[in-house]
Amino acid sequence: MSKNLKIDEFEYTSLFKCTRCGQCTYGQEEAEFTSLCPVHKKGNFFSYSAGGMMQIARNLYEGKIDYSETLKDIVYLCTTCGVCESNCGVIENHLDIIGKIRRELITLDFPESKALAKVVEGIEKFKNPYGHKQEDRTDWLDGRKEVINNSDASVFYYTGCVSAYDQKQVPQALTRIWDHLDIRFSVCDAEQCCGGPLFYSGYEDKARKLAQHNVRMIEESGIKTVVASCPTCAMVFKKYYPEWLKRELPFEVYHSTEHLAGLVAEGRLKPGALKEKSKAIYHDSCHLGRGLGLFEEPRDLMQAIGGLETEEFNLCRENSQCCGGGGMIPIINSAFSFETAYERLDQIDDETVDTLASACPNCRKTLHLAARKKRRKIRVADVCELIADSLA
Amino acid sequence: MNELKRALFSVFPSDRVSDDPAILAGYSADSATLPGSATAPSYVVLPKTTDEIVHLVQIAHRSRIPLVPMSRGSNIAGMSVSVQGGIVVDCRMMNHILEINTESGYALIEPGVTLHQLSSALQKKRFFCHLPTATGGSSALANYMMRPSGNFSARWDPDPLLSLEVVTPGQGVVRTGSACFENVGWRARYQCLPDLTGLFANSFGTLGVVSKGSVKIFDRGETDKVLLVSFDEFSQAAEYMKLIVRRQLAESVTFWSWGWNLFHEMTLSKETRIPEAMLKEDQKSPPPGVPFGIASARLSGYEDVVQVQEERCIRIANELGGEHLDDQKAREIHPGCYNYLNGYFGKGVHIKPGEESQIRAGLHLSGCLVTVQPENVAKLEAYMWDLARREFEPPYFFRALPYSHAREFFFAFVVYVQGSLEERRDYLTHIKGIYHQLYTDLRNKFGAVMFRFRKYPEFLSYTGGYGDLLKDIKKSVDPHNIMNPGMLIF
Ligand SMILES: Cc1cc2nc3c(=O)[nH]c(=O)nc-3n(C[C@H](O)[C@H](O)[C@H](O)COP(=O)(O)OP(=O)(O)OC[C@H]3O[C@@H](n4cnc5c(N)ncnc54)[C@H](O)[C@@H]3O)c2cc1C
Ligand code: SF4
Ligand code: SF4
Repeated sequence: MSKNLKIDEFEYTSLFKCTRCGQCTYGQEEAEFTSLCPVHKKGNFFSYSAGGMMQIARNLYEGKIDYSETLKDIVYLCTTCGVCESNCGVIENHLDIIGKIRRELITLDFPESKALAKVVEGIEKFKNPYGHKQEDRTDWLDGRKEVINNSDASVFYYTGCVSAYDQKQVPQALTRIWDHLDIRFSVCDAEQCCGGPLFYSGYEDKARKLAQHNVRMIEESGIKTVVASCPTCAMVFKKYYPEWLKRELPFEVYHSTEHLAGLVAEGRLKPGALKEKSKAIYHDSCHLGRGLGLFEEPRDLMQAIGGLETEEFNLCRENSQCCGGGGMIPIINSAFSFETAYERLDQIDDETVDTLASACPNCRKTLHLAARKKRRKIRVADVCELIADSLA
Repeated sequence: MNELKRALFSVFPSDRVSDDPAILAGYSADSATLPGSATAPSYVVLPKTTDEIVHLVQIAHRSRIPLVPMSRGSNIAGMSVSVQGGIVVDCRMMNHILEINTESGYALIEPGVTLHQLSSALQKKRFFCHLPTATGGSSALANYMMRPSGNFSARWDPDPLLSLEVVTPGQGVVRTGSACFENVGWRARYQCLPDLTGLFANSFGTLGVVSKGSVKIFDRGETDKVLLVSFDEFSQAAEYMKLIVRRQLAESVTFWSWGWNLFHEMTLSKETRIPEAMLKEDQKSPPPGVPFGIASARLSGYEDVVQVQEERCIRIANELGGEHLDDQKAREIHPGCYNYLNGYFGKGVHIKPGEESQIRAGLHLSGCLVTVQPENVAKLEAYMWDLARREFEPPYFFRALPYSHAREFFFAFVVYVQGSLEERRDYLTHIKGIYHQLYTDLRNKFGAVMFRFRKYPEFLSYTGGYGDLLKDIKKSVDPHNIMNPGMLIF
């Protein structure tokens, strides 16, 4: 065996487990025969699935095949949506394996590989996937210097790269809510990428370094409650950090909706009414829903907003369909990302809903761009923005 | 482009035929394939219609290239992995339930229809189908063509197949059962002519590609009940199963030795490590508090009748030394097992089986599967334990269930293989060697016949005129032996 793929014997053995049942591509219950895996949507063969990629990995490891255009095409379709991991009865590390194939592909001369290599380099150098400067990370605060490294805070806000540099409306809305409730929060100007994009590219070693930095940074603040707006960041903190660092985190991590739903339950947060009545449809982010199991919290928050009617996608909760924004797909395969986002948008009737709500800055960005490109009139907003609006 | 490739690409669009190594890799192995032994086919094709299969079979026949039918590929025994190049015919896109006829009691399905898909559709109509403890993603038709081992096969007659449509290289499209007559339909296994459905059952893709088929479906009745009884001896359990089936008390019943039941616990918890207890030297005696085995019976029908059935089953169990596990007790000692057996036996829809846990734990499975007459099943069990103590490493377990009104029992003895790649390869080769001899011994000593074909080239030679006739038929339907030759039947 030429060990064309750098996995250990244990991981290689895990590839044998695939029974080729194909369930990794489908939804559950009422969507059990609906294909949800974005990779599978692009190809009919079994190889276009997580199970297929496990067989591909096996063949790479055994030196039976080489990296190729088709192999690259398949692997660079994975949006890390997690349908496979939540449906498969036997394997639980599909994304780990897919990441490791990507890690090998990255060194090859494919346009996607170059784009992904740039992201990886960017994160290593600038500690964010966009190549932005570290000092710009807190620009979204619009000069509120007192919350940076605030020693008098009860909440540590881990902003995340997408919110900090791109979807600034999201952190701004969340902090508006905190201000309204007089909750003191701290933002650290030394914050670095959570490491998710590196992990999904097969660089667990590099991701671990970021994890070490972020955990040390929060530990030094002494704050025990960490809130993240981005479900991927929250998931990486909760699920992978303890694994990578081989220890429990010395603080609790919450996604913003989880945290705010807690405040509503305590009676501290009482969302008000929107100025103008609205009807919103809620899109479950893959990493928030399937990844963290947070389905009710964002819905409960939306329910609590006056003047807001809500609607559900047919494909929702565990069966939510990816927006196309995960797995760095918007950067490495933007056409496919848009295609996936359009498919999600096509499930909405603009005549009946005016707002597409999500609780993920990355979904917000992807769906917003797609909606604009398609000249759809629907507003795309984070749940926090809707709450902040209701408090205004 | 060679002629074969040109021919294939002229019939199938490029998203349904491929010779790309990355695509073929997906078809190169299943969970039985040994480390380092993945073998890809030369092409894979995804037909959507019978006509397309006809073209494909003609091309392969002309080119004398092997054709390996595959419905979902989940047989975990390498039966739809092409070992000699050739073309894999992946039927997953033929996944339509064409008809559910509750009046005549059959469903007409394509080979890509999964067990989960069929059982869910039937549940809506309060019907059910035969269910193996296979993964829900397995094809119903492919499973039934291999004589399923599992639920619902005891009181009802055990063979779920009715009529088939098969595309053969030598004879073109053949319809069997009542479907051989135009306008008669799909309701029956055979009419006034010999049974040809049976010819294709257990043929493992060596005689043709099945493009659709009708299967039996059953009314669920007013109520369902799962009755669990624990036994300390296999012989008691075997007698119990025989009696409750023969006396029309249970629709089906299966006995699982304690190891399987612990695997069911793993299904609930999503645990990936094998429980310590399963690695103990003495596999015959369970850990404290765990019964040696549990017989799970499915009772169904009118409510009052089921009540009587339950009382009678418990009485028979008690007389034989078994202990009825009521819901509370079953939940206490085996919560995962209780959940699983209730879901699987009770609801009549497919749920994740214990076997998935075994595979999740990273174990290779190696099974010795046979069918045997009732009076020999307990003797066979004793013999296997003896052999196992000498030859196998723990964990190993068995399960047994009566078939066909308890005329015979299905008996599965399964060894789990773990360790390094080298150790696995060596141990699996060792086991294979033992089984090879064992099947001959078991046949001679206990009249036990190998269940599912396990790739023994000389097997047909034991069957006298039957084998000769089969070979003649094979010549007629597949003159160039292109159909799944890797199965080594012919
Ligand atoms: C976790 C697990 C547990 C299992 N437990 C059980 C169990 O308890 N009982 C049980 O009975 N089985 C069990 N199995 C085995 C498995 O479910 C069956 O073998 C499976 O149903 C076969 O369906 P398939 O679509 O996967 O067949 P495939 O793997 O595609 O094919 C199986 C065989 O049928 C042939 N074939 C397939 N499609 C066609 C066609 N259209 N025309 C002609 N020939 C064809 C193939 O060439 C091959 O020889 C288990 C499997 C798994 C993964
Ligand atoms: S990865 Fe899991 S769900 Fe997918 S085909 Fe393999 S066993 Fe089935
Ligand atoms: S993570 Fe999503 S896109 Fe990637 S293989 Fe799994 S189901 Fe498909």
